[in-house]
Amino acid sequence: MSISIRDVEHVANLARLELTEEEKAKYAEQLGAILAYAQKLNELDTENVPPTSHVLPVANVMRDDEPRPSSPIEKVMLNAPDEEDGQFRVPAVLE
Amino acid sequence: MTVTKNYETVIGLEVHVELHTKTKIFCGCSTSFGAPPNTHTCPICLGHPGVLPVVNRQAVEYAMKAAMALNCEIADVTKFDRKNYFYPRPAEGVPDLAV
Amino acid sequence: MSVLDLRLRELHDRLAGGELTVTDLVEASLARIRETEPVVQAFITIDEEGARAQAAELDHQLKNGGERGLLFGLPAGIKDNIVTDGLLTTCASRFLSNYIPIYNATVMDRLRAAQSVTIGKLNMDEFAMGGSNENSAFKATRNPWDPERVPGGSSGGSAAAVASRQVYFALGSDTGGSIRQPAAYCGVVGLKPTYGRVSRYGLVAFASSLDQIGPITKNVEDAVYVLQAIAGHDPMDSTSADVEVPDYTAALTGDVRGLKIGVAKEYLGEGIAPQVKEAVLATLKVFESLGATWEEVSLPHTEYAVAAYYLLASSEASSNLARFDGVRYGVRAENPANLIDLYRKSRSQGFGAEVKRRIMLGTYALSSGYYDAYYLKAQKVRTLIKQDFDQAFEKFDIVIGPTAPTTAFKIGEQIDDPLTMYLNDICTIPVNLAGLPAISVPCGLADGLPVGLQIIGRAFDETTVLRVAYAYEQATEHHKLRPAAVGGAQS
Repeated sequence: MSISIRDVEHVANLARLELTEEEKAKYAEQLGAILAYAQKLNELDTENVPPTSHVLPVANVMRDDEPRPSSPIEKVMLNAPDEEDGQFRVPAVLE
Repeated sequence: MTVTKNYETVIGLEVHVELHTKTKIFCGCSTSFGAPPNTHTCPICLGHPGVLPVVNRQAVEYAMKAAMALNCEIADVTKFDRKNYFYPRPAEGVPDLAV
Repeated sequence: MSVLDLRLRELHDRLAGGELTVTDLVEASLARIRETEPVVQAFITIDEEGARAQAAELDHQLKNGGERGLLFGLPAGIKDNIVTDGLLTTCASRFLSNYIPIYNATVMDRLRAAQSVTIGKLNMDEFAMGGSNENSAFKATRNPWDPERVPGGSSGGSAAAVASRQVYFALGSDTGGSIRQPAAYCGVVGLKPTYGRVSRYGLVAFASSLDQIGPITKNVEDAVYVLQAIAGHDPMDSTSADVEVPDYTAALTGDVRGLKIGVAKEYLGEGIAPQVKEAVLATLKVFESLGATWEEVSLPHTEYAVAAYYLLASSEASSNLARFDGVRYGVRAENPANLIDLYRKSRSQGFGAEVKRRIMLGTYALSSGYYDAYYLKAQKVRTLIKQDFDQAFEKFDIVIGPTAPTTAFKIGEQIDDPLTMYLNDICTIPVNLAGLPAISVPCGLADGLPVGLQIIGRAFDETTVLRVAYAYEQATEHHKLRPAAVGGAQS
């Protein structure tokens, strides 16, 4: 199961990761090997097997619509890489 | 004209309605308008490492009520799928509630 | 005996009796850390000031009498993916190298209520992704039994800190074996509770359907007390189980008469080092002498677990790590061209190779066209693996096997071969997929390196798992061994 450099570029783009040419080649090889190993799962007939997304049979866990204190603005901004007036500054989203 | 004879128009409406709950969908922060920016936020809606969402029961009930009033079919089982894309919006990957 | 070697219960009594103060315990821990850290490198952050302040406050309370929490005065190390309010929490990642949490994990609130003292944050594989602690962005922790070997991972710092007696207990996290495997490599006890037994609120998520926090301790009795303090339902974690927390001290009987043990055939096959196999089979004689019976049991889908796990865990991780975009916290890249570039650069500069690899693997497995073939398929195989255990537990009370196929390997030996690294988790992964409780206890040495015995139980039956572990431990001397490599405390 080989992965092309194009595949790696596509996936890296989806995941918002930037890779060097060298990294792309290395990951293509490593991901290819892992996915080849994962083909093993096709040895199993899972036609009538239900998927398990969660082992714990919990359902309908919900919260009452009651307000709880929000964080003070100093805490909200404590880790802000770039802030102004209690807001997170980022490059413009719209032209 | 031949266009109207050969093609049937189908129109789908994706309608987003803000439910009138007191708190946000996944955390207890207030939904009231008018406060300064970022003052109705908490680690959960800020998407801090380690936080977990807990869904607002009232949101689910309002959504079901609205759906029933509009003569829709309510699904027996509803589950969350997380969206994975990067837009300028909360990045925890937790989507809008779909009923 | 050094105070660092005493059982938690013994320390509790000596504090109550006035023979020791909390400050004594904290100073002993800090001194030990100063002495051994140059070699062990277990800590990312040591909070001397905070620990001393907590100690002073608790000593004041000690003098004035009154109720004492379950873990009163006991200094602990916390894996650095557990959020500690006001104390740097990095997940061993460059991305979070400056992150000061603004809230406390639920388990930290519970430790606070139990009145333990937090000494500092422990090293790990970045975002809990790894099995050797070599994926930390900051430093490589060393195995106290042989500093040229890995302590295991991803809770390598936690296991090494307990093994070298830097702290009295530690909290780790386990997604595919990350508590149990380093516990085995470092010759200490590591417990992964049933999924949902301990709150995940404040545990930086790796794979949400697999992660659990658990204790790493120097003996089983200590693990009982730590579990007691942290277990229980949490309304902030909708995946936490609303199941009553029993009195786990009921497990400390030493009695396993009539116990039916299943020995997992597939965990003792090819790929398991002969000395490890030997050590595990030797435990059966001990169990027999204690009145238990055993039989081989097959968990036929074991060989598919690693593949299923890496698809599921990586997929969940790719989603969980999407929040790290450099906007609200974390190390943001400089001079981004636009917002997307900000995301891309911050993430690429902030994440290490293993993290990027798993994010991409997960993104691929979830992407359009591949979701059914990979992610969905893996979820179905997960069902089969869980069913293997359900069937085994119809006949047996517990299932045992080795915790890891080998003892600790040398630093650098596997870092360039991710697939080989992944296969170290063959014995531990199925347990996470099935959501069951499991403990690793020392069961001997192979060429001077610790071997771990894994004991797996039914969901929410930590009591039996602990009872079996305790009985085995008390009938043997392995728990009294300690690594000489760090000029260890004498027994």
